[in-house]
Amino acid sequence: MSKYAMVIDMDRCVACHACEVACRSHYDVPVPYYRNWVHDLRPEGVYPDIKKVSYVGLCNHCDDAPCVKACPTGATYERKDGVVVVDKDLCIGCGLCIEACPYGARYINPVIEKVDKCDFCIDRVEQGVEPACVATCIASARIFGDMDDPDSKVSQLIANGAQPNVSEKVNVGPNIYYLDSHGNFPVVQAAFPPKLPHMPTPQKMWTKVLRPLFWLAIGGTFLGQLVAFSTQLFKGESDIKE
Amino acid sequence: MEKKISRRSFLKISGTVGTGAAVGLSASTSKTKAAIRKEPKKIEKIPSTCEQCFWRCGIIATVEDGKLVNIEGNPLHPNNRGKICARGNAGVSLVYEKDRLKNPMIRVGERGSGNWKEVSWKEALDYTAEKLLAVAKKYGVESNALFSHGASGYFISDMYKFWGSPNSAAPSFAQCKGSRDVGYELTYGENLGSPERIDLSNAKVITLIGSALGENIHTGQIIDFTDGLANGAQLIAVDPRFSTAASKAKWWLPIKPGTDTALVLAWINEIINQKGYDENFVRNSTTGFSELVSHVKEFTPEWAEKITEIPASTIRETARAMMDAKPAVLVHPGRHVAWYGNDVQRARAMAILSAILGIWGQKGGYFLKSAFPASYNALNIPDAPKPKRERVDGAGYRFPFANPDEGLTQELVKATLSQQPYPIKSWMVFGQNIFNSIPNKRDTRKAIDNLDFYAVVDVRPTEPTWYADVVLPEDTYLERYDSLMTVTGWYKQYVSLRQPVVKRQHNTKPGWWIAMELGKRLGLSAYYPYNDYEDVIKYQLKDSGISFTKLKKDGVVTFPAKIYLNPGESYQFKTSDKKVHLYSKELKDLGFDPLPKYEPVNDPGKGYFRLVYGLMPVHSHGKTESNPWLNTIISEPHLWINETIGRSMGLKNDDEVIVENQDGIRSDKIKILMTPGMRPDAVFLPHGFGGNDRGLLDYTRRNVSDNNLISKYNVDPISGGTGLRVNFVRLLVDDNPLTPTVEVSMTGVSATKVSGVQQQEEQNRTFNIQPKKKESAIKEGC
Repeated sequence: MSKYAMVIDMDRCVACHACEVACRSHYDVPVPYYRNWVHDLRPEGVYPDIKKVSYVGLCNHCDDAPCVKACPTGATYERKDGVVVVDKDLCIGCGLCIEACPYGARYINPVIEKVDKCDFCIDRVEQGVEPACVATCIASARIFGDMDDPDSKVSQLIANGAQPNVSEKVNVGPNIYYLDSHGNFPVVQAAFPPKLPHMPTPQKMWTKVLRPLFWLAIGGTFLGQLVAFSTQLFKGESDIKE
Repeated sequence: MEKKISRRSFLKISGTVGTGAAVGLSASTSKTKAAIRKEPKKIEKIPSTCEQCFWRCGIIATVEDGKLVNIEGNPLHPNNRGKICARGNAGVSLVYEKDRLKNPMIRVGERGSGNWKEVSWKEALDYTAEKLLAVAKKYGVESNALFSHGASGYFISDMYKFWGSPNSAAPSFAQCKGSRDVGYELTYGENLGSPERIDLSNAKVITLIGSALGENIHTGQIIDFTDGLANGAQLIAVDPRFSTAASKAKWWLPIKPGTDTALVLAWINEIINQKGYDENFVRNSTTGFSELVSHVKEFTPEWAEKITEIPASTIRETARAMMDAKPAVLVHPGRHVAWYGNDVQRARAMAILSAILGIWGQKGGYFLKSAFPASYNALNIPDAPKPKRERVDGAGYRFPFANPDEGLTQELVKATLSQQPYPIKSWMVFGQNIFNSIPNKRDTRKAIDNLDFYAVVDVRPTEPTWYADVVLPEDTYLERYDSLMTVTGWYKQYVSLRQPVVKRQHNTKPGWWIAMELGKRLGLSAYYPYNDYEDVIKYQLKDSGISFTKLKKDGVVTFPAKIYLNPGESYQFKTSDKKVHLYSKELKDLGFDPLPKYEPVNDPGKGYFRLVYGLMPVHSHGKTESNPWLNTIISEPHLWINETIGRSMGLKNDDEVIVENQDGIRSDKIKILMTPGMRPDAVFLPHGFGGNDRGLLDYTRRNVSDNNLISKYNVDPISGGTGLRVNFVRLLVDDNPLTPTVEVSMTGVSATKVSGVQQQEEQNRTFNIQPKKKESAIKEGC
């Protein structure tokens, strides 16, 4: 079995944003949303010890993913290979998973009104092609692979000290690792710590899921009735003519 | 897993509650696929060549049912090797950009009123030809001038040559790499070309002088740069700004802007004194070494420290690193070098530094150009006539080393303003934003008033379009053929094809067609024995051994290259005596310094900062700022200013200021970015944004163009290249100029990383913050 992960080599990354745009074109991500991102930080520090750091991020495909737990319909689930995906058929666009995600990796695509996020380009991967962001990365700073294979590059880089973005408070088993030898990763962790997952409360479940479903059901029933009535009416008229 | 199943059951149950809910849930498309688009009936993968910048990477376009959906790097292309930058990826968005020029237009209102009528191509071209011929009849053919740029620009510049006008210019020379090429040609007999023949991936030391690799993105070069660093190369980044490259450097040298030549001369001095040069190479392959030795004698690291504000010890340490790593030392020649107007001499100094390190033809240094193994059939067309009058920009005579093939844009503007030595009465601007590339745009704007006719050909509107009498909309690079792109100076030689990947979206035409149709109307039919450029390419390749079918299918055809010299092999340089000219008799004979000297720069003066500028990784010059996919990443520029200086002026990050230059020219409001990674005597403005073209573009943008503030410029007497970093600016808030109340001296320190959190005392020590001195002690700059 495979267990997919990605390593971001911060030493190599030049913050060119190619990954962000490649993802946008491959998945029709509407502006201003994104499935992966490069957040450029202002060069900071005390001269001459200055750091110019960019946070390269995407869904962390967490082992203990809060989004999976938060999803009321089972649309968000973890595959056996560790990839967390959203079944668009089941997603109702309630957005509870967005609040649960510690990394801000999810958004509601306004075109389809469903949640969208990185799926590690699993369709490509299953065909033996690298994820789009990895394929385009001009600095070879994104490395994708199978952690279950000890010879894979990701396994080696993780063994060499690549770190996930976790904190004392939040560790949900993320599978994106950061390689850094210039002391830049602590800057990212300080600026973008994983957020405490906001899990759905009963009240939120009611306002965001059950109530809309309830009204949808009522509306649907009403609509159904209307259709039935009209059809009946139409048929009825025909009957009279006959 | 079980949990999931239980949720699904829950859903099924709830789904049965009402018809509406069930309808709502089944309205999606595919399962976990995020793709919003429908399953396509037909998917095509078409290779071509990018032109979001001028590096020309190989791309593969995916077209689904006739719609371009994505662009990837072509893995067969030896330059970008399957990778492509943000701009290349965003080519998709360019094709479908709503602000594109879509129809030919003829102006109906006053010039600059923004009133045009849409016309047919026939009408537009007939009208253009009529106007150009009228100028030719009244003033002579040479009174028609052209500004061009880009791959399709060659077609139109050829047309002007065929017609007999010598007056065409592109910004690629005077505003970009002209002085570099001249400096290297004077030294080595040849320049390093584009793409530059620099072996970044194998270098042990990489020296960047003002080259912000990483923000200046040329994909093949970044691949090699990041590989080189990963292979352990030590990086010396000379830059007044803490660039992305500086953030990866072992040594960041925050040099005082304008003093780079002094640094390079001190390096040469130290390398000679330490006998760290390549003695064999110097003895066998160079001339003028003894003159060089006595010339640099006084340019010690201590001398340079006073000028550059880089400590002598750092100069020695970095010189040592280069000596030890030679010949695997990559002194990057730079690309945009139009800085101070004495840029040929700086390029000469860099060429001399690399020559004494013996890096020519060596692994990790400058590599060689090969002889292309195939030859193309030449079109059977007459020779271009010799122009009856000399070109007005002085390229080749007033500026003896300027390349007449590229010309001098700013001199063409000046000649149009003065109408000397003879009248210039028409301009065609082809794919160039002349208001954002040529300095002092007020001159450019005024010169347009002297024209009888002014036409613009472009893909999307830019500020110069606003004043056009005729607007001719060009296909994007994804909708057209261009001429073959043959590169002999790379790890593998290659010929790359640009071909249409998607059907044209609007009533636009390719550059070759516009030039051809215009040429035919100007009586130049003999030069256009074709109707379709694909036929020209087929004819060119017919006897070359390169299959057009294969090129069309693969996008690129490669040949092996010999890039390094064999051990002991000497190189026949393309100079008169086949040797590297450390001392340039050519320059001496024309009255220029035969060896480079440092020319002092002015200090900005109280309250003023030197304006420096540079690229952003997601934008190309002024070409891509309106592209929605790129605009969403960087939608406005920030002005970089030293943090301590900024704080002393009462500013905080993202505050808005107005920038005013020494001539009183003001920008619109711009947000500031305060950082310790900026020299205290300079501010940095990313290039490309700005322009008063709001009438043409839907999105709004502020006029915070660096070029707007570059009203003053120097001209290099050797090359004719412009020096653009000679403007001083101050910052205004509510009309009040801000003045720093502290002095910050940023003495370059070996950027060996200081670990741990720094204390305030530490900051005071390293920043050397002093109370404000008496005013008389501060030099007045402007």
